[in-house]
Amino acid sequence: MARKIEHIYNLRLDVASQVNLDKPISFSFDGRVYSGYEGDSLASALIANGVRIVGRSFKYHRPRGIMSAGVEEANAIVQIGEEPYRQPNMLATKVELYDGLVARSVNAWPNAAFDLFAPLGFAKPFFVAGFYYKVFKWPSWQFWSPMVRRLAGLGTVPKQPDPDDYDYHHAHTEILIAGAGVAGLLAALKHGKSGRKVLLVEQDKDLGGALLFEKCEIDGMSALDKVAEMEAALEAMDNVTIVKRATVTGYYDDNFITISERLRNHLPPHVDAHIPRERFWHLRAGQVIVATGAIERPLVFANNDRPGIMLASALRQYANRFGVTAGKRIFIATNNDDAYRTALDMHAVGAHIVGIADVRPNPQGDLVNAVRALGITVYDGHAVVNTSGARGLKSISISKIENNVLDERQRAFNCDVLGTSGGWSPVVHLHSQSGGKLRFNEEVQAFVPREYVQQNVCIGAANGVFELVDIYSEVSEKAARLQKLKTEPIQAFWDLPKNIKKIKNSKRWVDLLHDVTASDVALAARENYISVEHFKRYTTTGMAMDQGKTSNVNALAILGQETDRKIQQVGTTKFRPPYSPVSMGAMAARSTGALFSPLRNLPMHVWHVENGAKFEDYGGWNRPAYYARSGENEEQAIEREIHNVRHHVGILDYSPLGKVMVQGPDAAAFLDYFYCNNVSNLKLNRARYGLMLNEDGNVIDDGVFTRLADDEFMATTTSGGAARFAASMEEWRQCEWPHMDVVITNITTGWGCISLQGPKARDVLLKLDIDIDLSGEEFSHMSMRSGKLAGVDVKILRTSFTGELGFEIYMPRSYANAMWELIVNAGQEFKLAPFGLEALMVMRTEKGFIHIGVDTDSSTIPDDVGFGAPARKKVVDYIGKRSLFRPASLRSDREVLVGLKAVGDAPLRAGSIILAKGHKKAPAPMDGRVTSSYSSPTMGHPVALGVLKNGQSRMGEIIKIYDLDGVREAEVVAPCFYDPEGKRLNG
Amino acid sequence: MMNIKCPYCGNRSEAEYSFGGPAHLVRPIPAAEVSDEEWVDYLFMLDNVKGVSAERWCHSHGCGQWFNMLRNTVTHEILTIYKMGESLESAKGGENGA
Amino acid sequence: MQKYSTLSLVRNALTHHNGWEKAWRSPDLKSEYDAVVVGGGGHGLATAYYLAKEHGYKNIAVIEAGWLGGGNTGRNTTIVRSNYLFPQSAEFYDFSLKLFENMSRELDFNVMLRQAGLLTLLHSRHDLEVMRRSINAMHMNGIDSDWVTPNEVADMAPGINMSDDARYPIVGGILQKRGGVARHDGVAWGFARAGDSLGVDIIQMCAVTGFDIENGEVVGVQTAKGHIKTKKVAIAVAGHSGVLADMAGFRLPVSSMALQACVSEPLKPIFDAAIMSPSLGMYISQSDKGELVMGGALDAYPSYAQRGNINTLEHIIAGIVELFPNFSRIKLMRQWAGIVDIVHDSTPIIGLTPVKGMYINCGFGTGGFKATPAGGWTLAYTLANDRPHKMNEDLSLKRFETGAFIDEMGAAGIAH
Repeated sequence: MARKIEHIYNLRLDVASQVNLDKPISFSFDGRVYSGYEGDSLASALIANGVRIVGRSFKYHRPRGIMSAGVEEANAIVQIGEEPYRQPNMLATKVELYDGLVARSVNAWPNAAFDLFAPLGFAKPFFVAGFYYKVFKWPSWQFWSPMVRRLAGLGTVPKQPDPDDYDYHHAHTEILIAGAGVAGLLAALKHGKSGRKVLLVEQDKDLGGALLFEKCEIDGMSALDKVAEMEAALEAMDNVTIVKRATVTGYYDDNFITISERLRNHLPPHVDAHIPRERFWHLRAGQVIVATGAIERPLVFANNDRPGIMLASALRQYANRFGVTAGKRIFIATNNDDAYRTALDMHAVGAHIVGIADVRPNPQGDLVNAVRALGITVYDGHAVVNTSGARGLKSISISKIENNVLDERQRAFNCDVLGTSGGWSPVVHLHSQSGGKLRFNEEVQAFVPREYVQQNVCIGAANGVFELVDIYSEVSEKAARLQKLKTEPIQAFWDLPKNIKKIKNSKRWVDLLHDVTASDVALAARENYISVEHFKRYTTTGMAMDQGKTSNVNALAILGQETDRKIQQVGTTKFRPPYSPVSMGAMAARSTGALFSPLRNLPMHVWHVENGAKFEDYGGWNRPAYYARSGENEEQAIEREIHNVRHHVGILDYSPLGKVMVQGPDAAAFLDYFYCNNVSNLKLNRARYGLMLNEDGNVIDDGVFTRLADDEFMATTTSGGAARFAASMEEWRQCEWPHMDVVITNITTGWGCISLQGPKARDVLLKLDIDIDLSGEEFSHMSMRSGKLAGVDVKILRTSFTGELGFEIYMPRSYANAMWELIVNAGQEFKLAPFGLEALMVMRTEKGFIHIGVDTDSSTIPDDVGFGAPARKKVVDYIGKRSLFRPASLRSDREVLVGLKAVGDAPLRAGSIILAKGHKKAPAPMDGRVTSSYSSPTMGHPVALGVLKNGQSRMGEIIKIYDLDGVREAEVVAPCFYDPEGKRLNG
Repeated sequence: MMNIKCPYCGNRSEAEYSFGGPAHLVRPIPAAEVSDEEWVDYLFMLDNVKGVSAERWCHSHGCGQWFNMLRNTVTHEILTIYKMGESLESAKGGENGA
Repeated sequence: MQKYSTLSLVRNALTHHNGWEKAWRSPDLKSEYDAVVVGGGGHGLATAYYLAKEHGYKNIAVIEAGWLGGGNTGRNTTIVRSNYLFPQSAEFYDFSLKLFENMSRELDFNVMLRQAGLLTLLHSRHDLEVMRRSINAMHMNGIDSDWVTPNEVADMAPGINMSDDARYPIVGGILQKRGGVARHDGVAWGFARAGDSLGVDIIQMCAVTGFDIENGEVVGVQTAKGHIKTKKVAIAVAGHSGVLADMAGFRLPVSSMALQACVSEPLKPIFDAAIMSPSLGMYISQSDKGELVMGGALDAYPSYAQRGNINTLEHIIAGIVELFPNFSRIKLMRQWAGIVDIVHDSTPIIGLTPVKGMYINCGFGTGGFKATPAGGWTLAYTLANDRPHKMNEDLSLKRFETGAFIDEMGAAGIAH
């Protein structure tokens, strides 16, 4: 923060307000330092300091000032804070001031007051709605877009990661009340007294809504006192919860609600940094009461975007709540009674009301007459037609309107503030999100809720009930003592009559944030973009950050006028969540970093860490890729591990292997549905390798199934496929074969598995206390024994994915780490060493064992991997069988698994493409691909597996293989390089 | 976020469930006697109803049980929930509504 | 057709833009057409345009239940690309991309094609192998595709999480330079305007209520605005394909589901390419207005409600914040959904139907926008010749019976 505090103007009023004049604080805007008070919004403080230009418009960089006091703000968009806390695109009207707050304008350079892009405003005659669809075709949009992109966007993206935390909050309530204005408060009191669980959510820091600034008496007390009384009553109810600084942002199916709660945005970034910055609520509500109030609409006239032109209600809000005024000479333009409240209130705080232009011929409501009684001139039947003031409003001119014809004569008035009111639009966003329908209510000239489809109801201004006394009778059980005013209805007035050419061609802004004018709306109509959706997209109305909160209804009405339709015939677009923008950090909450998709650690994780494992994510498991010893690189480590398994013995933490128990009288028959090879004829304690298919005939998983008893099997799956496979079995059991008596249990994470592989594997186990006969005669390859190893009940499966003698030892996970350490110690004399997944991948490739998802893809059928004969012979109607008899499955030229022996020393690259015969370079037809490929320290030459069209009949052929670097050659061989007779694993 | 009443556990948010295709799908057997056309009809062809549709859902992040549900695909309104094995007609007569 | 050019823009600026003509007419429905296209989205409008332009049809109607381009055409994330695995898809999608490359000039309507590249991120050893297959297959198919190093990724996307400790560390990427984005509305409006100028009657707010079929042959279409006599019907209605098929008495292997998209508040542009991470389940680009345009996986159950769920959206956003930790303080502005037509192998169906004279284009699932011109072109060809073009021969309904699938699940982007 820099320089001294500067006072240009002081527009702070000498009236009681809700800012604390005893607590001055300083802040900066666009590099200049200003002072404000505790309780100020950034907007009220800027107004008090006479800062008129707070931003630049999106397309034309026109100077813009604060136009509202709420979430509907379309001009005062700023960036708050500094890296790494910088927050782009905040509404100055909703930013609570704190000491040291740093704010900057967006979309302006060097700042909002002096913007070098301002000359873009002169291009307005060319940059009309949709002009870019008509030009930039030559030479191409590609050529022009970098220039356009330089001008795009508002705030800038933070450069550093967000240091703050966010949370989800899950909750239920019987009644949610969105909005704590008078309607919401009354509803909360009523339902609170009924004893039901009530949640009252208010986007502001204070309860009260319009009562925070409306001068009225309720039950003989001031509005503020009444709010305090109601709040105290609610606080006293245990069943009522009040959440402030929270916005109900989304309304989803079955009354599921999201709420964005801002816990720390009103504080300097370092204060309370231990609590989350925002909380994103997931709420299920029994009933939703939408009491979200209404938003005032601006009037549309020439140059209605100058700094100083504001919503009429915002003027009195700033005066009464914050004790500031945007200017000293105020003019008011309206088509309804409500704006007269602004005249009365501003007059009361000492501002000069220059006059009021009311389009209604002879308004006689109580408020109007009260204004007249003060000697303020009401120009009835008049509208503001134009304004002047390049850097802020200086004067306005009004003309008489009769029968929708504008009088040529104009009267000018000097003023620095113009409050305009075109009526009020109920905030029906949540209702619309819930699926509810809207209707246009002529009486209040606004869209109001029509049909409810969920458990919700709109009340108060959100329901088109605007007057306090009417809200009381709508919501409250007991009447209040309130003054009943005589009012006169609003008169629709959407745009100026077009009988005067100069006015017709003037810039009458409809969507301030997206720089859309009434002429743009007319242009869209002229070009037949007359559906709401076409018009919205063509002109971009309502698609800016404010999502059209002040512009949509005006635009729809003007479109209606241009196309001779009533506004209800034009219709509305659907309101989409969120109601106001939500931080993406809050929506992600804790589901990022390690918790985005948590990795699972192995039972022996700590041991692996301590022994130099390099971890990688294999199917969601954090597994050692290899164990690096000092001085070794990855390749050397893997080579050493392979050598050790091939010559001595290796140990692998195989716990992630999918393990599913299938038990029950029908276990064998049930499993027979899931494998393309036979299960039922498997003998006790024997194991068999099998392929699982989907109903489409494609191989989706593989594994070994073992018969533990007549009625009990253990099936292994790939580590990534375990949950899916077990769930699929359950689905078939419950939905298709409920008569089968079988229980399926996924024990993958409950049981650990230690795999010992290598010629010395047996010797290592024999060093331990074991009651299982491990001899080759008694315990052959592909069989299982149960027994005790070092006093622990284990199951040992003799199997191998390496091609060596191998034992997989299964035991409850809690024993796995101790068992691992015992075996590692026992193995020392046999040179036992751990090996990782990469060594395993090399060894299984040497042996020609397929890896599902690597050597297969979603089109692989059993025939492609050598299982065609058993799969076709099997009698049972197993899953996927029928699909193997479709024409494509029976083709003779399918891509089948082959071995590939590269010509040359370097291994092929997995993912290389096999060129069709006769082709030497890309592009070319494909005959297959390399699926697995490694240097093989065992074989002394590279080994690879691949799939090749007609592969079985092409043994010995030299094929051409394409990879990024070029084309290589390889010989087609049988898919097994190492110990094809299987002597070693059977040993 | 639909609120789905599992017939075994009660109301839970949609996030606990998974959709599993149309309800009452009959798997044609024996395979050898099923024509290509019948097979494709079973395997791929869908009514893809716009409106009330009978579907199979699983309380996958809960009790793991499958059940059937009559649901409007336009409004996401759940009309009836009934256990696997029960017919739609019997469910409509019962009180399993969500 | 009124010429759109800088000159015409300047000339009209002098007359306060009063001289612009309607982009398309709002004609009355006639009682007979040589061909009726059901569906006024991008594909349907393109079909009508190519029928008129390439096949000499003079009397065509496009029947649209809502407003033209109001379905998925106006709801997608506007990405165009042709990085497909199998030759059939590659040829089809690359043809589409080529049509895109000339579209603004052909239609005299700027569809704002910006070929800033489509970058697919790789996060593991396995990704590297799988994507090596993709990149090589693309080269085989004659499609540009480049290997990108982690450093190059960091340059293309400032702020991207390059940490080795990231849950999904970035180990590389592949880039299709010709990929990018185009303005979705522009495509629909461009085809509508060009088709209209060739005499195509675009009938909006007119639902089809049934078909007249005699002896297995289509002879008419019933609509909300009246009856049409016609012997040729093309259906291109994406998520509503099942509903139309039901009217015509057949079923499709198509499931209608909601696919979400969302945009952030507008920000000064910081990256140009469209970026996709299958592992993180998200894709993102930044529009010419500065909004981050984001999407991810489907809402995983059938739906005709054009609105998205919150849990799916949160997962997408989490993926984005995980990839771009500096986007955490950026705000999400709008969320919506389109109803997409999902098929088993993520490959579209374009071709004949069981009803003679009736042709269908559907099953584009999550990727229909990029296929808009080719989808229309091939459907028009198929209708005009009563047989598929070589390009859509394998994209037929027949493949579900034969099992000759073209499984582009991987190339479809985010796993669904």
